[in-house]
Amino acid sequence: MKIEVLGTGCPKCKKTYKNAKKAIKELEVDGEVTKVYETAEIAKRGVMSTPALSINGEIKISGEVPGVEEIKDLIEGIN
Amino acid sequence: MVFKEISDFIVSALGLTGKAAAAVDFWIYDTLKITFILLLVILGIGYLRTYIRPEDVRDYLQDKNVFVGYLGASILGIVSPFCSCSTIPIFLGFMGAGVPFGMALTFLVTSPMINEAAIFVLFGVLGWKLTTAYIVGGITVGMVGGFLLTKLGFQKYAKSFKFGDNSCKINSTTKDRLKQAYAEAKDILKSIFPYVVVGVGIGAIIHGFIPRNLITKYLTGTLAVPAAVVVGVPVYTNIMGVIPVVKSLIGKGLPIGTSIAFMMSVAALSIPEFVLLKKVMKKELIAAYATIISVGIITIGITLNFLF
Repeated sequence: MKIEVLGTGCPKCKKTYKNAKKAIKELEVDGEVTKVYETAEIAKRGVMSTPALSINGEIKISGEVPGVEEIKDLIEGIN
Repeated sequence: MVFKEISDFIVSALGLTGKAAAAVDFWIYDTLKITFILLLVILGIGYLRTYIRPEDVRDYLQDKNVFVGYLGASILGIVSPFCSCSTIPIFLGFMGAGVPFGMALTFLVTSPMINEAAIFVLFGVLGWKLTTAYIVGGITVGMVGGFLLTKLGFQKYAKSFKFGDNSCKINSTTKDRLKQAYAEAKDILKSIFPYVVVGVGIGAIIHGFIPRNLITKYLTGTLAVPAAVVVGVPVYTNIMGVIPVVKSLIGKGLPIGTSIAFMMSVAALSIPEFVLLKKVMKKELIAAYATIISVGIITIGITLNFLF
């Protein structure tokens, strides 16, 4: 599972990243969380409001900080 | 209001008199008042804003005529989130979806300069006249700036990006929205509060210790307006931090137009902002952008000094 946090580096993006890390740890799923900083890359994904969360290449959340539980639900929805 | 009683009480409990009393009184009163207004407004607007997604506004702006489009872009700039890190992706989203270059620029100019919380705080601290002047002035600078940069052919200096599409749709319940508004309000307040305390502190020192004739003697001329704009560039703070400083400067006789020009310059022109813009603009465009905004702010300042 590939989870990406898209954002240019504001506190909210860091929080989203932390929550995502925590979610996969608690679910004990095999996955990695990476950050996408590049403006060009964020634009290419069609994201206007950051932070955004992408799971396996698909944007799931945009413009808000998802909580740990919310991310867990999203991950479980995919498996 | 009750804030006055609280600050009076603390000042008399501390046994302060004279200048120190005036400064401490100002500091406590304004910090309480600004924080209170912020709390109410950010919560309320935070909730309403969950209904305005940038994607919808982008779709709205696409086929609007010139005037409505520019006005819409500047109003969106006002209600867009505080976090300046969202500004660039929204700007790119507009451009990618075919929103005219000038309107996207208008958004970019207005966004840091005016926001809804600043409007309420300005109103509470400085009254409706100055608030109206600030809003109308800011919108004018944004609209004219975006329009002129387009007419002067600066579009070719915008970096181009491929903008993709995503199918992310969020259906929120009222509870989700409230939760989001609360989280947002907490974040914003936490990040703004230090600016408020420091800003009110500087305002308090000016209020208590700077003699009035120092300001009326040196800072009332027309040349003070461009000077205020120049001084505002290296000052990088949240608009909330500037309002109390400006309040006490006005109290000491600084003209309204000069004060507003200073506030706008602090908010709209800053080195970190230019660094951010560097990601999406070539330096020719950034230079033209800074020049046009500065000239616009100076014009507004001089006009307001003339009117009031």
